[in-house]
Amino acid sequence: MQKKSNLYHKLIIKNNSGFFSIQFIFFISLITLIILGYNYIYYAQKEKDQFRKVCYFDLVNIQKRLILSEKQLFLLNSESTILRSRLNILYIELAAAVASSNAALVTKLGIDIWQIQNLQNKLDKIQKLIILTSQAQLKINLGKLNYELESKKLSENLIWEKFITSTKIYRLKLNTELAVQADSIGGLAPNYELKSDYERLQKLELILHHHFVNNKKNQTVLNIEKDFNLICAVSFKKENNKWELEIKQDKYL
Amino acid sequence: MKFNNKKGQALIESVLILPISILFFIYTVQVLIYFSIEISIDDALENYLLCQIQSRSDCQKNLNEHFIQLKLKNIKINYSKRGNLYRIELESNVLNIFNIKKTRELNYAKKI
Repeated sequence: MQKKSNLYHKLIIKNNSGFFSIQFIFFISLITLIILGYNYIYYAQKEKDQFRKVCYFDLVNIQKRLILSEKQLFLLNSESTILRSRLNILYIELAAAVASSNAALVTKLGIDIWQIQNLQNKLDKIQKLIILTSQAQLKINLGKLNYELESKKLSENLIWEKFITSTKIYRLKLNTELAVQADSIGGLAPNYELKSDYERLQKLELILHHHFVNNKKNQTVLNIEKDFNLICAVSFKKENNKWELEIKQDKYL
Repeated sequence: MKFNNKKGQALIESVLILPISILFFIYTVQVLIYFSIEISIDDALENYLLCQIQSRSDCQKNLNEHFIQLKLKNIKINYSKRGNLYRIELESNVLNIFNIKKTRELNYAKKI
C-alpha cells in the first residue's frame, strides 16, 4: 500500500511539472517566433532605409557637387566673352592700323593682343582645371561610395549570418561625366555650355538586387524569402537659370 | 489527502494562470499588430514624402492603397509644402481599437 502511494505521488509530481513545462514551452516558442518575425521585418526595413539614404543623400550630394562645379565654370563665361570681344576689336583695330601703316599703333595693338591672349590662356587653364578637378572628385566620390556599399554588405552579412543568407548586388554607374562642352565658336578659353543630352550623361544611378532567405541551418519553422529590386537615379534639369534635381526611385527594374 | 491537496493546488494555479495567460496573449498580439501597423504607416508616410520630392503624380493613390491594405479607418491626411519643408500629418483609427496620430517632416532642397 505504501509502495503504491509512493508511485502515485511520483506520478502526480511528474504530471504537475509537465503542465507547467508545456505552458512554458508554448510561451517560449511564441516569443521566439515573434522575435524572429520582427527580426526579419527589422532587417528588411533597415535595408530599405539604407538604400533610401544612399539615393536621397549620398548620390544627391555627389550630383550637387557636380552642379556647383558647372555653375562655377559657367560663371567664367562672362569673362571669356569679354576677352573674346576685346580680342575681336583689337584685331579690327590692328587691321585698320596696318592699312594706315601706323607702325607705333601696330606695335601697341600687338602688345595688347598678346596680353589678351595671355589672359585667355590663363582662363583656359582655370576652366580646364575646374573640369578635371570635378571629374577626378566625381570618380573618387563614386569609388568611395561603391567601397562603402561593398564593405557595409560584408559587415552586415557577418551580423545577420545566423538568421539570414543574403545575396546583394549593387550596380553603381561609375562612368558618369561632367556634361559640358565648349560652344560652337571654340578657341582658347571658350564659353562652356551643357551638352544637349546632359540629363542622361550626368545621371547617377544605383541599382540594388537583394535576395534573402532565412538561414535554414538554424531554423526552418519560419520560412522567409524576399526579393528587392530597387533603382535610384539622380539627375538634374536646367531651365533658364533654375537648376533642379531630378530624383527617381523605383521598386522594380 | 496530501496528494488530493496538490491536485487542487495545481487546479487553482491553472485556473488563475490560464485567464491571465490568455489576456496576456491577447494584449501581446494586439500590441504586436499595432507595432507592425505603426512601422508600416511610418514607411508609407516616408514613401509619400519621398514621392512628393520626385514630383510624381501617383503619390496620393499609392498612399491610399497602402492605407486600404492596412484597413485604417477615419483617415485624416494633411499634406503641406513650405519652401524646402515637406510635411504630412495623419490621424486615423487602427483596428477600431487604437487611435494613431503621426507627423513626418522632411527638409529637402531640390533647387541648387
